[in-house]
Amino acid sequence: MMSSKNNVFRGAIALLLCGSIISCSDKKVFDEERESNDVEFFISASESETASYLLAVPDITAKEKLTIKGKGMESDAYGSWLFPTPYVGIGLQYRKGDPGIGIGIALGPNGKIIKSGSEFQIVSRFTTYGVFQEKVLSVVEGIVQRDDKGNMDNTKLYSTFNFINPANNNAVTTITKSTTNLTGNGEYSILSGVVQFGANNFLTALVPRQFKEGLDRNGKPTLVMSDTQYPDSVWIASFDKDLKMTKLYGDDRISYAAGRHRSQFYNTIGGDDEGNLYAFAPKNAITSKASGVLKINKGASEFDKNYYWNLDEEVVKSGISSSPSFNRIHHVKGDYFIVEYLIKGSNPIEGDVPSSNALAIVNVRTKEFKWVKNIPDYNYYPKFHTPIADGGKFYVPVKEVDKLPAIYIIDPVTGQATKGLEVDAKDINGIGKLRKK
Amino acid sequence: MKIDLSEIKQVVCISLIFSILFTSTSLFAQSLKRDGAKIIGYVKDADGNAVPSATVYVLNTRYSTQVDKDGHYVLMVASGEYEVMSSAVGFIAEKKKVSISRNENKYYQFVLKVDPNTAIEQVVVSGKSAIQEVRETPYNVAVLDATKFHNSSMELSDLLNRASGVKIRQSGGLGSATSVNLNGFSGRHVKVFIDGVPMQGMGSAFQLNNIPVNLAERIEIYKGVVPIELGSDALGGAINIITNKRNKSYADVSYSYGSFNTHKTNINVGYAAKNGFTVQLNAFQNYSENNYRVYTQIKDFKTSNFTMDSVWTRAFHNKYHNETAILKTGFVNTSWADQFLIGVTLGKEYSDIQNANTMKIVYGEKSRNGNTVMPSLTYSKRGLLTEGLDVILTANYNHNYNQNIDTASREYNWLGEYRETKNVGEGSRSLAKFYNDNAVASLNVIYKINHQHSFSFNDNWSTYERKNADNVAIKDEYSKPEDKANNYKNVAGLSYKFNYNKRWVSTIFGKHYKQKTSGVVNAGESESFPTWKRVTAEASAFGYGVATTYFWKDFQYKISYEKALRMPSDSEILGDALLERANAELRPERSNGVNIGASYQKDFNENHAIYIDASGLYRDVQDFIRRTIVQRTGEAQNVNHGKVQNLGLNFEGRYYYKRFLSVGGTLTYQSLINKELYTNYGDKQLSATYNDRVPNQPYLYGNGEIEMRFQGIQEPTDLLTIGYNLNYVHSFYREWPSLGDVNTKHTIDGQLSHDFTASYAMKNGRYNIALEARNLSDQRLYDNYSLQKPGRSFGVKLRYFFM
Repeated sequence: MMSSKNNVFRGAIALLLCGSIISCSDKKVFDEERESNDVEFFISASESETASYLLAVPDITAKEKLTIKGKGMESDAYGSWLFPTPYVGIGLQYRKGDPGIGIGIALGPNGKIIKSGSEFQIVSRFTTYGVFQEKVLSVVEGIVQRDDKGNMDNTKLYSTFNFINPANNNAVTTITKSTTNLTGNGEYSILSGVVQFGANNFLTALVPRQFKEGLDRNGKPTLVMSDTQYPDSVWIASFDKDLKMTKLYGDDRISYAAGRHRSQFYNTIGGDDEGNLYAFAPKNAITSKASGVLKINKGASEFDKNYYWNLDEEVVKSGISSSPSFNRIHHVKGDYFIVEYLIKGSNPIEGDVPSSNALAIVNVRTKEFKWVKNIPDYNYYPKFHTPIADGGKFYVPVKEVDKLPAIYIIDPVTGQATKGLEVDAKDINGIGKLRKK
Repeated sequence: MKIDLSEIKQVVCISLIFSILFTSTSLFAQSLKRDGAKIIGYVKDADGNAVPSATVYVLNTRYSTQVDKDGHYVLMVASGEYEVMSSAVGFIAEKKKVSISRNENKYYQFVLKVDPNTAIEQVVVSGKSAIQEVRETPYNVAVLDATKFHNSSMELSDLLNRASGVKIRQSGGLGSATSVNLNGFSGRHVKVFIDGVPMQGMGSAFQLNNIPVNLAERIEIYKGVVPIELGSDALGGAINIITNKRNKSYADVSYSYGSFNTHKTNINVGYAAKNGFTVQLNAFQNYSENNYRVYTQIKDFKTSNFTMDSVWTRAFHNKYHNETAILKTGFVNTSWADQFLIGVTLGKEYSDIQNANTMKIVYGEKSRNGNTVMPSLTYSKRGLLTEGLDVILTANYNHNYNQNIDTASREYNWLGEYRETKNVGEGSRSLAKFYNDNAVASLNVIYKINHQHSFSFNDNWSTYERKNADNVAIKDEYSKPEDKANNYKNVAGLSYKFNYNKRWVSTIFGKHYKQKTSGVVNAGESESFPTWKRVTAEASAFGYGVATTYFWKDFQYKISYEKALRMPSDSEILGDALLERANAELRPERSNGVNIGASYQKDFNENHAIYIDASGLYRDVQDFIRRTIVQRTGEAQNVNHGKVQNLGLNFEGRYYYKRFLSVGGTLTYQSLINKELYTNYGDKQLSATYNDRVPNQPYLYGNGEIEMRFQGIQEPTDLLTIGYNLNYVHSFYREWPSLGDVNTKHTIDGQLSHDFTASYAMKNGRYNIALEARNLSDQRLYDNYSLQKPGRSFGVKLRYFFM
């Protein structure tokens, strides 16, 4: 009997010890100190949907494996990363139902990412965003305005603009402004993309929508949007910092210049190194126009009548017959742009498709169109995350089935991709470049 | 304090209707021919005085009764041979052998001797009959005696938190979201029952976080292997709350007032007539402003920035109240039923929503409310039709709704300041009511062939329909045209029990699970071009297990094994059609588990007693149902992806010195380890977190308590009880422990808090007053990352108890 009793006590003591050992092992420190370079790459990697690990990496092209075990600043998961200045990254979080939160980050002194400025609340959700005058500008469409008595303004639909300013501790300035009848035809304009244009203006594509008074599902009056009456026209607007429209460019050769994935509107306009602007219009459900590119020459007040490039024809020429569409473009260097395409793959799709699975390089001057080589086969639906263009190269995080997510570096001149850093995580959800303050 | 009078009126009206209905039924019932037998008699002390606190019960059966104020008792039993026991606090229990045949009345007088040492045994014994019986089953079970806490203003969740292996995680104060963590398992993996009926779907006004502890007699916590009587697909264990079953007239009325303007009332009254007719009403109300101090970052309206550092402020939109009533009427201890009760539970709940799932995001006007209407039926009879055949039947139907209200055009900060906005809704506009209709029925049949062999059969059938009618939710072209799902589930179990001389008890059992789910899913090729189709998914599976226990001297040893399953839920099968795709091919989650345990119980001499229980569990869970992003297609889907291994160790120890002192504690350690080799479903990328501890789970926690009783301060029957409770939770990480710089990790800080209570019972427990201080050292306590629980609070409870 004594022995059994002893066993019980022994078990209890073992259990106590066990607990204390485990609790101690949590405090392992993995730090390996190093000095930061002046400029480093930023990587946000994730293993779950609730957190990201933010790391500084001296060389993103190295054929190495980066681990997040014991490394990286743990943060909430931020879906979008923008770099309004060379020194600061801004992460935006989009929560379903609740307002989102944003943070600022910078390159710290010992090869680590540190917080920069205050965290901030994103007051409204956002449907498009970009960088303007060293600030992040996010925009949300379809705002119905009511006066203090709750009476709805049924003549106009509004858009809300949030400026996030890293120079002022990430302060957010919110302006709600009507974007109805910008095009002069009475329709409302959803803004798609924010591209700095000269020192004082930004450009955005207008996506027109009709609207009328209707009832929401609770029986309350609201304004309801429907398809535009002008699906075969494109409009690009320029705004100043006070959100005054300073210029409007219109044309009827292509449809509106905006990509779309779920509720987000993606940018498909961009400038070359000389200050000329190109507007790419993908196909959409209601237009009769082919997807194509138009040009606004530097300083011009209208689209270049002599420039038009039919991208659908280029795709067919390249041997792809499934008429794929694109939803984002990025300027890399000179006349080179990268276009993110979604092509129907041979591997059966059971459900939804990602926003893109193939990359094309286009030279807007020579009208040369080629698919990027040495990137994962579109037939297997690799997943591309938000890329950056830097120093004439294009860096894109790719998650390929059965493999670790990795950075691919694309040379636009040769059209060749090389695989750089692999990250031992579920996914890479953002990259960037940061200069030490 | 606001109590909705209309709700009370409703309750009173319904109780009157039921009383009238059943008074007439009782007249009819009286004419029924009785074919049971009766054991009748008195329980008196050596001086011939009645012992009004005595219980008379038949060993190894459910026959039990309390004597009336004259010490008189009547026990209705089926014919047979029994051992009848009578016990009372402060007396030595007495046992008699009784043999009784059909329609026979037998008279037995118990004369209880006063325990010369005011012995501790009786302290244990007073709750022993039922609690000891449960402990002695082959299952790994912890039992909490709720009656000890009836003078406290606790909710059931507070009491559960003191059990070994259990951690209750609350997101705030009274009424806040509560989840049960049972040896590392939580959410859908742990099933909670009340008197054997699943609480899932009973509506938010009748849940662990608002039911007063006075409703319960005891709580049984099955860690791992679950007996078939709790017929459900519980993977991680089950909790069964046993309510008070008093077969006589009683009143237990209490009111408490405490910090944060907290008011709680509980009226628990019952009437039992000699012919067995009974009416029971249990009504309770909770109200709290929950305006406790919080330490958080505050947003500046001008810049939308949060302050760099947290500051102290106070919750300002955190009110909670619920009003719930359970009315039951019927017959007890008649020849045709040990218990036949028809009841209705009516409940209503309101809660302000102070913050989002991170404390930084604060609301000033958002709220939720819900109600529930639940008729129920219970029938039980021992020796139905033939000797040794016991039947228990329960059924309930529950209609409830929950509503989220978010219509303010304002934005608040933690100082309670606001600014007007142009949007409707602080989060996203909502007025939606979500309706649920649930029905549950269970049948439990036990057939005892003799003292050695018995069989039991359990069938648990449930169905529900869910209508998500969020009329103002932002819908777009991807939204489902209708969102109505229904589900029906049946779990049938069969077990055989072998009892060898009460020294070795073994059970072998099998369970069959069947489920059918129907709802609308996108059958189109992609989410962008949906084709809606109503689908039905059916699944069935078998589980089985064995449990055995052996008694040797003062030791009891237990070992059990179960292959358990959890069926996929409707939302897992059907997806949500917005972000998640349906997967009708989902398999049940599977788990193989082994439990071992040893307990030691000894009364060393008349002064000292000890109880020690140590148990361990090992579980291997496969085919976890997880929401994952499918790499191949880039969308979310629920898939059978994931394996975990769980090792749990539980320890409980108690020491008693006479009636004066009891000291005890529990300690739980659990190690839930990720054993899934691959990062993604359908992808051979190796996981970086293989062999890592599953995050966001407390894994080392315990509690300690000391209770001292001083009897006869003014009157001999007065009792002063002073108690101290310590609560400890070791800190843990919200995310995978191995990932990220350790200095930047999201950590849920450890908890060490102290509660004190003092209660004074007069006139044999008829009048009670209790003072409570919770979290006396005013610690900042968190069960969930950033969601702060209340600091120091004080309360007083007045209770009148009569039986």
